[in-house]
Formats: sequence, structure tokens, C-alpha cells
Amino acid sequence: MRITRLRLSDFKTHASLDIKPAAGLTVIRGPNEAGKSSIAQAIELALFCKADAEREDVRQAWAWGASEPPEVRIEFDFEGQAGTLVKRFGGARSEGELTIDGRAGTDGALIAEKLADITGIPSEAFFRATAKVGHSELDRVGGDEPELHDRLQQAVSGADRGTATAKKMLEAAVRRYRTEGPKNPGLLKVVREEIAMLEGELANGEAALARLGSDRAQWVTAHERREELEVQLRRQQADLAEAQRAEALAMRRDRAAEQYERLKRAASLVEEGERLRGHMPTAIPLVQLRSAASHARGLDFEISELEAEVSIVDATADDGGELPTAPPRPLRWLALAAVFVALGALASFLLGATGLLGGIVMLALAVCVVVCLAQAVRLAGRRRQYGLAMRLAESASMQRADVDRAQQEQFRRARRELESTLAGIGVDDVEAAEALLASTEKQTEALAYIEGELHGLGIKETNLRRLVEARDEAASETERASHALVALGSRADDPASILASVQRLLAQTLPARDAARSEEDQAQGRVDSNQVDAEMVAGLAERLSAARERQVELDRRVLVYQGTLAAIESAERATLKTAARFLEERMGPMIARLTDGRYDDIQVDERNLAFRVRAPETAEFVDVRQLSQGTADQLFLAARLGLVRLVTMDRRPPLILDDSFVTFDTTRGERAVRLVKQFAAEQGFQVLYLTCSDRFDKLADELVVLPGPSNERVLALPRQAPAKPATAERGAATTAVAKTVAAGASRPDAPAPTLRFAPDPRPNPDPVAPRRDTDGAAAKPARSAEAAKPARSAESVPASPRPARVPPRPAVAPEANEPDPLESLRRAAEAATEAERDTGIADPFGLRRGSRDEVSD
Amino acid sequence: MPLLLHLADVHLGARHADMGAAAVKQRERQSTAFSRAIDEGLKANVDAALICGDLFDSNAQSRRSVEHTVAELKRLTDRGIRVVIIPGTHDVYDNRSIYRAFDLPRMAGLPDGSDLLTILTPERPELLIKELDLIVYGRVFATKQAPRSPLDGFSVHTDERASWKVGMIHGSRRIPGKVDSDDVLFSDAEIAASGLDYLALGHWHSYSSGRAGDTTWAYAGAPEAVAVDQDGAGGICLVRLEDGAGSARDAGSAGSAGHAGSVHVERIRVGRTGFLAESVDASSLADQEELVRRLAELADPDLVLRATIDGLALDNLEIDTDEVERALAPAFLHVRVRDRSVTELSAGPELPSDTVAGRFVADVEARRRAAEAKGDQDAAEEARQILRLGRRLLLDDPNHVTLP
Repeated sequence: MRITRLRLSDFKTHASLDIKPAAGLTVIRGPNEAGKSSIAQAIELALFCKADAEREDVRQAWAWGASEPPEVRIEFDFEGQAGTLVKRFGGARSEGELTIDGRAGTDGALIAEKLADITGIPSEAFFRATAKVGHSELDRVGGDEPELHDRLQQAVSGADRGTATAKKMLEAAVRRYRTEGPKNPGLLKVVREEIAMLEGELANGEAALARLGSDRAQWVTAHERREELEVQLRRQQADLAEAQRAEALAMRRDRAAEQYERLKRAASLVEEGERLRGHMPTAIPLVQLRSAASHARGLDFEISELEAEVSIVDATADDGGELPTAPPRPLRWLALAAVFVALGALASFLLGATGLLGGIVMLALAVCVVVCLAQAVRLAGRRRQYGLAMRLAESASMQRADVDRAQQEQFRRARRELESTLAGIGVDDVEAAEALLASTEKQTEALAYIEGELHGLGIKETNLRRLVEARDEAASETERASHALVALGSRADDPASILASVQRLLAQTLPARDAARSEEDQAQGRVDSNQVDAEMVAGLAERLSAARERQVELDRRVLVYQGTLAAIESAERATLKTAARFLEERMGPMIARLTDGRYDDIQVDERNLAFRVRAPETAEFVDVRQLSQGTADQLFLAARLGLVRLVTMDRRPPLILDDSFVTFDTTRGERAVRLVKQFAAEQGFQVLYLTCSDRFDKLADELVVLPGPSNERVLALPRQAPAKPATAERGAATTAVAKTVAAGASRPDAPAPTLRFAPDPRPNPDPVAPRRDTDGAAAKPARSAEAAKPARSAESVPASPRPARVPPRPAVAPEANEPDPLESLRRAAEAATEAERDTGIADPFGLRRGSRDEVSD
Repeated sequence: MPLLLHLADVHLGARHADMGAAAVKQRERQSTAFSRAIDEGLKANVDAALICGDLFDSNAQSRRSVEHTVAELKRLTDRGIRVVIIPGTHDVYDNRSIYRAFDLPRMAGLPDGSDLLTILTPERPELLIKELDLIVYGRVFATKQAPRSPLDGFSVHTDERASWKVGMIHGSRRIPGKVDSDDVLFSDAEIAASGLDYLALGHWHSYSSGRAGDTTWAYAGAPEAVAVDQDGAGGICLVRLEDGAGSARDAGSAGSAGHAGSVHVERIRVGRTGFLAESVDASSLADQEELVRRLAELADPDLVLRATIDGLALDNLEIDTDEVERALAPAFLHVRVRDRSVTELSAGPELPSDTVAGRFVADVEARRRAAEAKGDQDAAEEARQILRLGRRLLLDDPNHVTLP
């Protein structure tokens, strides 16, 4: 695509601008604020922005005070077909129209699609990354290799700012999510930790709630069990009380019956006693009676004794003749003994004392002697008793008379006393007294027995009436107790066994009740000590749910971020690999030419598009910075612009260099511009170089000089809808005037470009553009005849075939009013530039030698 | 003419997992709605209050919560208004039931033997209130899942102890084709055969009422909604049992002319929270601001808004749901915004394949197509989002792209 005419109306500072760029290098020069960048912006917006876009930069394109919206009109040549693009950026009044070969269209999307096809550039970002070279992009070429690589990468990124920013943002975002460090944990870690913490707390809370439920259930069970046992216990206690009552009643009944029997007996005894007392033999007290009877008996005995004594005295007096009449004679027995002794002596004499017979005789005689002696002794005693008896008999006879008188007296006294005593007890004789005493004693004994029995019965009451009353009361009590027992029903049958049975049950129930109570208390204790709050646990669950949801969202986001990053990196690797091979293939011949064959092999790192050249001395690849600055510049420029062909699929959009070499010194800058010009000529690119310096005027195929901002324009603001002039040139005061000069004419003494780029000989240098219209496939982009020439010299090839329409140096040159810090350097470098004129690069990318399809990865 | 307060499904202490920090506020609102229901009962001077199950959301409530609830009930019993409660499916009458673990009447300061606060259970299935000539039957099981219909074989036709016969059930009416299974299920035929004058129901959180045979039935609904799709929640019922013939009074009330009188059910609103599920078509949104603006039109401090962005979302539509929620939070009780939209990628420029951007788009597009071919919608959506983000980062100014 080649722009043949560019017209701006009310576009920022340009009330009306009309320029006709050359097919090759067009230098658009103007001082600061002259609107150079506006021209670049106008082209960019016209090509890639919808007319009705609601954007800040579009709104700012309105000229100050203008009533009409900014309009950009581009006339172009595309593969031999004339086209016109008109964009009027006016909101509701927006218009867009594209006409190619007489066919017009106004649909914004179709226009954009067609323009993307024509330019090979699908977006503004892509345009800025490729066809537009900013004023600072080349600043550090050769000085900062990484930046150089970045620029090249950016060129193949298809992105406005390359992929670096995007990757950095994604990496930062992923890091922000994924960081695991303890000090600055990532969002995922934070939410993960929050979830873990909440899960832990929730698990504890749920467990506590479960325990609470379980403990409450146990409490309820124990509570209900206790209550049931309490009821059972109360029933058993009632049974026990009944049994005890029955037992008490039975005891009461038995006691009453026993009392009744006792009282009944006592009453009988008392009644018998009274009867006995009523029939006593005498009223004399027994003791007195017994004494009188005893006294009488003694008197009677005394009388008997006295009477007996009288009888004995009489008998004794009668028995006085019984005394022996002669005293005993003991001497006879002694004489007999002496006889025997004599006999013995005789016998001994006669018989001998030693013979048997003699012995026997002697023994018999001895015995006779002994017996005679013993008899003699006995009779001697009797002889003494006889004498005593004789003396007693004499004494007794004297005393008998005295005794007889005393006995008579005693006998009479005894008889009188006896009679008196018997009379005292009302009897006649001792036998009667004895009989009375015996009967009295018998009755008294009977009464004593009764009293003893009463005492044994424990009855002290002797009043028969009261005893009878008490007996009757006991009988009534027995009746009452018996009736009460009957009222108790079966319990009364065997209250003791029932009581024992109930007590056995109680003995079982009580411990069970106590156990249930203990269990209940323990469960209650556990419930009370469990401080869990269901609502607090609910809060935890709610927070956990929210955190999990957030985690899902974060996971999703980071997944997208990581996926995007990975996809970009993958695409970048593949793209850079293609680009590296592309550059290696095409820059090898160029480096040989640039270095006079010193270096002929170049290696491009497919990771970052870094250049390395093979050093002939060592046959090893070395850093490109070992080359001269100029060579490095040319290499980079060639690579940078060459990549445009690659990534635009050889559509060759117009290249816009916005004072890209402003910081270059004169020599370096001119060398760079020459390379650009040569590249443009050789590769069929149209180049618009925007600058505030006139040092490239001489190199331009077409020069456009913009006037600087004037006071008049400023004073004229805001305009009151001024009538638009029919032509582009409305006057310097309010309109930028496009002035084109032939570079050669303006600076006849200026050195001509020395780099010679071979024209692309291919009839269709777009073999890698599948989207190209078939009808236009054979067409070549229109080029100026001058650009198509294989070589030209400063002497023979003018910069522009068109005649100069304005003086080569405008009357009001911006440089005249503003310092050019590079001017002195430019002049000093011109000599050096001359030396390089003949160092040409015929075809730096060799594009005309083969198609893109020949590029091997 | 007994006047009854009928409420159910208060769900005190309920969990609201999807309400985040607003869950606490919602629990407070449920408690407040319950208190308001008591106020309404006092204001109407009802004779008895029937609470048809799920007064508590679970049996694991704290003593504090139970005491607070009893304090509310005590306001009725202090006025001599009988309170009859049946356990539900959340506060089921199992061995850990609140109604077993806590002696509510005693906590309300009632003496032993008082029937002012009565929990009807399988052991005590009815309450005869002679002075009201009313008998209340609680059809309760000790398990969450009923072994049989609570009205199975139930009939009060021969019960002559009182003129008015009211039943209480926490369960679902069988609606063939719609409600065929639930923990507790009974049929209209069983309701009709019961002979009850009024059947007070709980379990469904939205109000509904009707008649089966001569029996009027009604679900009071939850006094405060606890989830979305409970449009009929937020109310209680005042039920008037009138002697003599009667008829439905007005719209929103149900009436029947059972046995000797009529039953009038009047619904009274006590809840304030509204739940709204709002769907926003992503294709109709220009940007996030528009979404916020449109949702802000629904602003209501009593509203729980569940907004879902669905449909096709253009790749230049960037919605940070967190930001949207933060922006809307002050205007609602709770806002939850979920982006369920499917990314629809604009055609965009066709990028040269030798550029990173071009290769990126081609690679991810291939991935997306492969995922779609396999029917893996998640992977396809992930690829779409990667494509959208990558294109924005590569083709726009990445500094204008936010990576939340």
C-alpha cells in the first residue's frame, strides 16, 4: 500500500493539510508543535480506528474551535488499484468510506477488515509495533543489547508494547496469587489458610455441637430414666408404707389381743382373790395366828413335859431296888490268873517248854491268864460305879421332894396360859388352833399365788372394774386393728413378706435411681461445660462457604492468568523461532556486505532475537556489539524493518518514522536514513520520516515542510466556523502548508544516498499472503520508477521525479528559529559519510531471491 | 370463637451459608420477625398460639438462644395465652430434642401442671382447652422421617370433648407430580377424612391455604424468608374460628364452613427480608458501570440480591464481581454477584500468524475448538477467557487492563 495523497481537515492543528508523499522516502519537516505527530496519528486513526469510535484520542483530534469534525482523507495505491479512504471522526456525524478501484464501502467493520488486508496490519497496536518507529526506539541501538532485542521482539509481537508488559503483569498477578512466603503470602495462600483455619474451627465447632447433642441425648435419657425410677420409687415407697402400716396394724392387733388376754386373766385372778379374801377362816392376821398357835403348841408341849417328868420321878422312885446288892469282886479273877500261871509252870516243867505239846499248853495257859486279868480290870471299874450309885441314890431321895413342888406350880401356870392363848384365837384346843392356822395359811397362800401371778402379768391394777374396762378396751383395739388390716386387702395377708419384697425392690430401685441421677448430673455437667454456640458455628460455616467460593474464584482467575501467560510464552517461543530463522537467513549476506566480507554468518538467538556474528579469527560467534556503531545500527534497522515484511505477510504498509533518529549524531543519523531510504527503495516500502531537523532534507525523495505554530493562529482561537478553502493551501496563518521540494534541488551539494538496494524483481513478492485477493495476486504494489531502479548515484538520480513546488528551504524554516544541537555534528560527520557511500547492501533480506515459504524453521 | 395465632418455620439460629457476613444480620432478622409475630398475637388478643414446627433450626441451639425464645413465648403466657408447639423436621423430637433437653414451661416460670405452654409430642398428642371449647391435636413423630402419614387413620369425628378441633402438622401436602416424597407426607384425602375444623401446617416456607372436605388448612410460611424462592414467606396467620355460617372475608384469606361454624385465615406480614434472584444478560452490558447502575436500581436495604450475569459476554466486557458487590453493598442487605456468562469473543482483527499475538490467538482458538468438540465447556470457557485476556493484554494498552 502506498499513500499517494494525504489530506487533513480540522485535524488538531491542521485546519487543512494536503501532502503527496513520494513512493520512497518522504521527509516531513517542521518545528515542534507543527503537527508532525498529528500527521502520524491521523494516518493511524484513519487506517485502524472506526470513525465513530468514542475515544479520548479521537475526541482530542478535534481542532480547537472547529465546528466540523476532523477528517482524514487518504488516497492510495494498492497493487495498481487506486483507492480512497475517508474518515470523519464526528461522533454522530461520523463517516467512513473506502473506495478501491471505484468500489466504495461505508461499513466500518468491512472497511477495517479491508484495510487490515491491504496493510497487513490488523490493529493500531500492531501498527505501532511494526510500521511505526517511534522517536526513542532506536536510541540505544548498539548500546543496550537487551533493549535492542526487546525492540525486535516487540516488532514480532503484534502488540503495541510487545509481550514484556503483558507477561510482567501476568507474572506479577500469578505471583500475587501464588506466593507462598510467610511474610507476604499470596491471595491463594491467604484464602487457603483462611479455609484451613475455618475448617479447623468449624470441625471443632461441629464436634462440639455433636458432643452437645450427644450429651443432651444422654442427659435426656438419664433424666427420663431417673424420672421413671423416681415414679417407681415413689410407688415402691408407697407400697412400703402400706406394708409397714399393715405390719404395724398386725402388731397392734396382736398386742391388743395379748393385752386382752392378760387383762382377762388378771381380772379373773382379782376376782378369785376377792373371793378368797371374803372366805378367810379367821380375821386374825396370819402372823398373829401363827404366833398364837405356836405359843399354844409350846404351852401344850410344856404341859406334856411337865406331865412326863412327874411320871419319870415316880418311876425312878419305883426303880431304886435295881441297885446291885453286892459290890463286884475283881480279886477272884486275879486268883484265877495266878492259878493259870502256876499251871503253866507246872506244865512247863512236866512237858517242857520246847515241845509241841508243851508249847500248846503254854499258849493256852497264857490266853487264860490274859482273859482273867482283863476280867479283873473290868470288875474293878464296876466296883467304883457301884459306890457312886450308892451315893447318888441317897442324894436323889433328898431332892425329890423339892422337885415335886416346883413342877406342880409350873404345870398350873402353863395350863392357864394355854387356855388363855386358845381363847385368844377362838379355839378350844391346840389341835383346833393348829387346824385354824393350817386353813388360814392355805388361803393366804392362795392369795399370795394370785398376787404373784398378777405381778407376773405385769398388772398393778387391782381394781376389778378398771381391769374389766381395760380388758374390754383391749378387745376393741384388737377389733379395730383387725378391721384395718382387712381394709388393706391382700397386703394384710402377709405384711411381713410383702414388706420384705418391697424392701428388696427398693434396694434395687434406689441404686438405679441414684445411678441415673448421677448420669444425669454428669451429662448436665458436660452440657453446661460445653460452651459451643450454634450460631457461632453457623457463622464459621458461612465464612467457610464464602472463603471456599472465593477460593474457587481465585483459582479460576489464576488459572486464566497462568493459562494466558503460558499461551503467550508458547506463542512467543514459536514466533521468535520463526523470526530468528528468518533473520539468520536474510541477514547473513547483508552482514557480509556491511563488513566487507569480514563477517558472513550471523546467529540469531531464537529466545530473544539477540544477534551474534561469527568472528573469522576464531570461527566463533561473538557479540554483535563488537561491530562498529554504524554497522550495528544498520543491522538493527534492517532487522527491524525486515521483520515488518515478515509479520505483515509482505503487505508492505507505509512506514512512519517519528523522528526515530533524533538523538543520533549527524553522521549516524544520515547513515540510518540512507539505510531506511535504501530499504524502502529496495523492498518497495513507502517511508514517511517526521522530523524537526533539516539534515535529512537532502535524502528525501519528497520533502514536506510544515510551518510552525503562529501567534495569529493562537489568537484566532477559537475560530467562528471559518469557511474552508477550496484548496489545501489556505495560507500560512491558519493552515499548515505542505511544501514539497526535490531533495536534490534543495541541496544540490548534498551527498546522494550511497547505499544501493536492489529492487525486488518478483512480479508478486507476496507469496506468504494467502488472504490476498486473487485478482490482485499478480499485481505488484505500485512503485515509483525511481524506486524501482536497481541503482542510482547522487549525480544521476534525483530524489523525486516531481518538479519542486516550493523552494527547498522554506522562508520560515523552523530550524531558523530553534537550535539544532546535531547540526555541527552533522557537518563534521559528512566526511565520514562520504567514505561509506560505496558500501552498499544490495538486498539485505534477500526477499527477492525467494518467497517467505522458503524460510525454514 | 377462638382466635388463633398460627406460625411456623421460624428457624431460629439458621445457617445462611451463601450470605457471608450478612448471615448474622439475617439471623437477627428472623429473631425480630418472631418477636413481631408475638406482638401481632398480643395485639390481636389471640386465645392461643400454634407453632407448627421448626421453631428452631436445629436441636443444637445454645441455652441462651432457647432462653431468648422462651422469653418471647412468656410474653404470651403472661397474658394467659396458651402456646402450643409441635416439633418439626429441624427441631425433631428425637432423643436430643430441645423440647426434651429443656423444660420450656418451667423456663417460662409456669408451675407444674400448667398447660399454658404445651409441647405436643407422641406421648402427649393433644391438648383440650375447655374454656375455648377447643381441642388441639399434634400429629408428631419422634423421628425426622415419619414412618407413615401423620393423618393415617386419624379422625376426630367421634371426639365429643370439644366443639372446635384443630390439628397441627409439620410436613408436606402430597401434590401428585410435584410433591411426591418428603420426610412427612400426607394427602388432601386424609385431611378431608380427619374431620378437623382447621389444620395448621408448617414445613413449607411460603404461605398457602385451601380446603379439603370440610377442613381448612393453611401453611403459615416462615415469618422471615430464609432463602430465595420463598416469595410467600414473611408472614403469620390469624385464624378465627367462628360459630355459625361464615365465608371467606377477603383476598388472601381462606375460609370454610366446617361443622357448626366457619374458619377464617388472615395473613399478616411480619418479615421484611426479600430475596431476589436477578439475571442480567451480559450481552446487554456495555461495561461494569452499567451493571452497577442497573442493579442499583433495585436498591433496597431489606433485599438480598442474588445477581447472576449470564448469556454471552463480549470480550471487552470486564466485570470484577468483587468490585460490583462492594459498590452495591451499602444499598442492599446482601448482594452476591456471580458471573456465569459465556465469553463471546468478538471477531477482532485477524492477526498475522508470524506474530506472537497471532500465534497466541491461533493456539488458544485451537484449544477452545478442541474443548468444544470434546464437549468440555469448562475448558472451552477457560480458553475463551484466556483468549479475551490475552488479546486485551497484547492488542490494547496492557496498562489499561486490570488483573484483579
